[in-house]
Amino acid sequence: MATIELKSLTKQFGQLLAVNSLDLLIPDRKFVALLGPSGCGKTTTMNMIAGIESASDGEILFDGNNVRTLPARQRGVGFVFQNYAIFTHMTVYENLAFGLRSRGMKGPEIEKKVTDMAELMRLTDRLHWPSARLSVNEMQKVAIGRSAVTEPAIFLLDEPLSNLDAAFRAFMRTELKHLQHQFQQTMVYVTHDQIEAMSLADMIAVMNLGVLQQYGTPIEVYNRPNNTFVANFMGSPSMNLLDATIGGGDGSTRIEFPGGGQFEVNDEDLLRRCKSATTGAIKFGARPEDIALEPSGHTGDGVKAKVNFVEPIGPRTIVHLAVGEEIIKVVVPKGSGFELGSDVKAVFPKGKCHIFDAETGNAIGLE
Amino acid sequence: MAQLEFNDVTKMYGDIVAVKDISLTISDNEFFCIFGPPSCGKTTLLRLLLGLVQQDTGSVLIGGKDVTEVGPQERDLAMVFQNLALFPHMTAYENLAFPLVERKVSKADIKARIGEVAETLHITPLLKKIPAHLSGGERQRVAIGRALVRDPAAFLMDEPIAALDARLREEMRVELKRLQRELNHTLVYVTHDQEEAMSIADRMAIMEDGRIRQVGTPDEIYNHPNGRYVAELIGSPPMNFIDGAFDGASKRFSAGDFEMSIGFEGVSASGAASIGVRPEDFRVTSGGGAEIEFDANVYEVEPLGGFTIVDCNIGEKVLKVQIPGQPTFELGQAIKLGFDSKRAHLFDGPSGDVLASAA
Amino acid sequence: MTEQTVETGAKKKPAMLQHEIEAKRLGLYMSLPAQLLLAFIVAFPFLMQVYISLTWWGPLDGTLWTLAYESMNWFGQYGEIFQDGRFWGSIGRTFAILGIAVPIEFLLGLGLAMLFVQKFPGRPIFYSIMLTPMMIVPAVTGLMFFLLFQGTGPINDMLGLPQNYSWLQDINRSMITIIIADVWQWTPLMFLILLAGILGVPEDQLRMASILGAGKWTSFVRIVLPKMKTVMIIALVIRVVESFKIFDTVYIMTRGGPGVATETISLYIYKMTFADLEWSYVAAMGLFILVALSLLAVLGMWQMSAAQKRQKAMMSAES
Repeated sequence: MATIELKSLTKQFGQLLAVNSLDLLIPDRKFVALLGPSGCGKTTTMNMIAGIESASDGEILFDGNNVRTLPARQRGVGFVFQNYAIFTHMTVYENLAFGLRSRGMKGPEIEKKVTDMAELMRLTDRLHWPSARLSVNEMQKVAIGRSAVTEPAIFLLDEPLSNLDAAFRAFMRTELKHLQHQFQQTMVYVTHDQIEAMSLADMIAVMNLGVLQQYGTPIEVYNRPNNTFVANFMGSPSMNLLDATIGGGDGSTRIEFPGGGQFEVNDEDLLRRCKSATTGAIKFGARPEDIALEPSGHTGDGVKAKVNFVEPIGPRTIVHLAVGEEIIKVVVPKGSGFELGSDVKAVFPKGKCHIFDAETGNAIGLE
Repeated sequence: MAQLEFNDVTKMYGDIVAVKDISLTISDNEFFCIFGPPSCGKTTLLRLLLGLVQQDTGSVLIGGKDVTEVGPQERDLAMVFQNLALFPHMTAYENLAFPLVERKVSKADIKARIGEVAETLHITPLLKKIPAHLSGGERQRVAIGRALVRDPAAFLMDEPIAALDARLREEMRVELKRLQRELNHTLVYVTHDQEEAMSIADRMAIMEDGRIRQVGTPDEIYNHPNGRYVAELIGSPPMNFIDGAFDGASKRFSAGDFEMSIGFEGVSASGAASIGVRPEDFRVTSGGGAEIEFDANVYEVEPLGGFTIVDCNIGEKVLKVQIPGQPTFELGQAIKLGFDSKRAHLFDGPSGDVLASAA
Repeated sequence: MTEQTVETGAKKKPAMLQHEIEAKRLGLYMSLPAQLLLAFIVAFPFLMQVYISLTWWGPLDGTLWTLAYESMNWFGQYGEIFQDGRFWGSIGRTFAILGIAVPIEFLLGLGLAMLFVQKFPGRPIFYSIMLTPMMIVPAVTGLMFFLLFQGTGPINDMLGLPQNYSWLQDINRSMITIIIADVWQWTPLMFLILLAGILGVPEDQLRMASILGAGKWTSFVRIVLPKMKTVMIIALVIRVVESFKIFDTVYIMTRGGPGVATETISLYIYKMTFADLEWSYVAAMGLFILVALSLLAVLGMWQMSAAQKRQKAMMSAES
């Protein structure tokens, strides 16, 4: 069993509050991503879990035992640094064997474990090379292998794929997932790439400025963001967030945009949300892949827009539309032709619209 | 604003080929991307343009003029480096002013020019700060600004936004595209991020081991790759390949225990070949609806929010399929996969050259 | 690389460009004064030394050095070196001093550097104090220890030794005083260099070692020391070369005495030059030492490149 529980975990660097009273429960054998932009506190949090950074306040529990005062070398975790931190003066074999030697394992046993791991990571050819001569991709494998070989119950990875080229990154994503299933470890993974987090994680903890924004499964966090930060951060391209007001009277509820566009709310889910709002000033959110583009005269909840820019990116095309003063993005299948400057209607789909309080950013009416 | 040309350029370092037989014309006012894996020679091309290295054979032309004899300072090109190379002890304003001060532009002119550029890049409030007090994205814009103040014949950029967060990169590339359009400059942009290249380039060159594999618009490269290498490199997730043999007469393709009739009209020869189909061109059908259909099992599901990637196996082979939205699948579920032959490519087995391309 | 190995179609490398030629020429003109100065200061005396070493000339001959060829005897002086017991004795003594002093300086320097890695209150002040001995003129250091080690001096006093207990006039104990003075003066240099070396070890690798279960000692031996190899070699080479030349301190403290008990090679050469006026012999000695040390250096570098070649062979065998 290897659950990790963080209670009111805090880290202060002089004036800077890097991690602000974080409460998080990472279940046994789950893959949890700490996701957020640079400076959000995710790496500091992970460093505190590993023991290489001391906590200013709060508790860190492994299976209910407080490890906060335990030095790093006694915590028995695996760790991969963003820049790998390979022991460059040693061979690949010595790197892989290091953790085992430090724990007093004997030669023949070490040899077996190291050669097995080398085979698993496909490093057998490089086993006796000086590690400084490896390619970046190979170094990454050594970084993972050298922790994996100690069979830790908890594995911490700090943006391990960010230095790799795109093809290898996609390959390693799958490999990491398999590793985790095979070794049944609790994995904590720091990243700023939400696609990576969605692809790999069982649960995602979204952080910003040291504060936990939302913690849930990838689909939960994606479909039901509980504030504008999460809504905007998840999804590529990010969710469109438009300033709007809830208006109406005379029996109908309308959402009105400052640029002049507006539509009557017919969707039940959105209607319910609008009615539960305590303020009229909101941010209206709809994801690019959820918005449909129709010819200008189309009926349905939507607004008129003008095509401003077209970004074809292979399998999909992103169309930028001007709605009043704002720009929204819509994803359309590749090959659909949209002329620059043409008029279209952006139709908002049922059940997929979000509204947030304009001041606080919190979601309105989220169940 | 000028046209840039390479004529038969080769550069070797001892026995190692940096670039070989490069002939390329980059049109005036074009946003041109050079894309390839690490060490493919893309940075060498930039250095040849800049004059930091000298080619062994061939010539480099800027604006129609051979610049072999012209030193780097005289070539009138502006460069943004990957590591930005901002002067850490100078403010943003001084960094921007540097190239102009070097060229003895008057103080008033410098002020005016910087004002314009800062406005365009939205960095006017940051001018008094030093690089250490700026965020990554802000530093990027200052580095780009420093190149912009000069109004050179062309801009060169070497992976200028590679170091930024994913979100910031997406924003910056739209900004760069918009800027280039507005200022109407020739821009040569090196990157290893294929989504980036596809999104911003007017045309792009794909390089491998010092050679240019294909040049074309992103659309051409994506939909009509000239060989397996390019097809595999562009597109994420990458194109799926099924290796087997094609009979040009009967138009049948066989791969192990897997056979299909597929109408590649223009191909009459037979031999070892591979079919390439992109993940988004597969459909999960429920019997009927696609020209070519076969059975598969779900191996792994990656729900990425806006779309879902499903790994399917047919026999030993794993294919990646991209489906919009968030459909649900059980691991091991039996499904039917289909695709249209119009969306498939055929590649020659030994050489990898394309035999038939998607319509 | 010949043209044959270049692939098809490659023409000859283009001749140097005009601007490159001009740049090189400018460089030549600008460095010419410095080159002439160097030639005069370095090359001229060196050639003069070689010339004289091949003769029997001395200032007492009464002739100008340019006429030294009149007493040319080729390698006679070099032959004398081999038979000169006092020369070899001084070489032996010099190595003895270095062989004891340098390792002590190294270990003390390393120990002190380890203490200074962690921050502690007052570290900057202690750091400055640590460096002071190094900054004192060696002759002054010599004077200081001369006074300290006097029979009537403070050291005998503190140790409770009688006033006739001699340090500087005793055949064995005089060596000890020299070594102590050298260690006192130069440990700070080792400390400085080794501290920089320790601080240069990438922190992430140390953290990783700790996560993998290594304690402080294991981390030090398996991560810090190996990464300091180059720095340690540099520190040792600098100190060995410098201490070989040790002069000021010894001269002030003992003049090389009693007798020749502390006569180092530089002191012997000094006496030969200014007391005995055997200038051509001294010239030969100087060149002999230069050649001997150069051979040792070449040997060392040859070993290093052999080790690198072995490593490369191992890598290509495995790939």
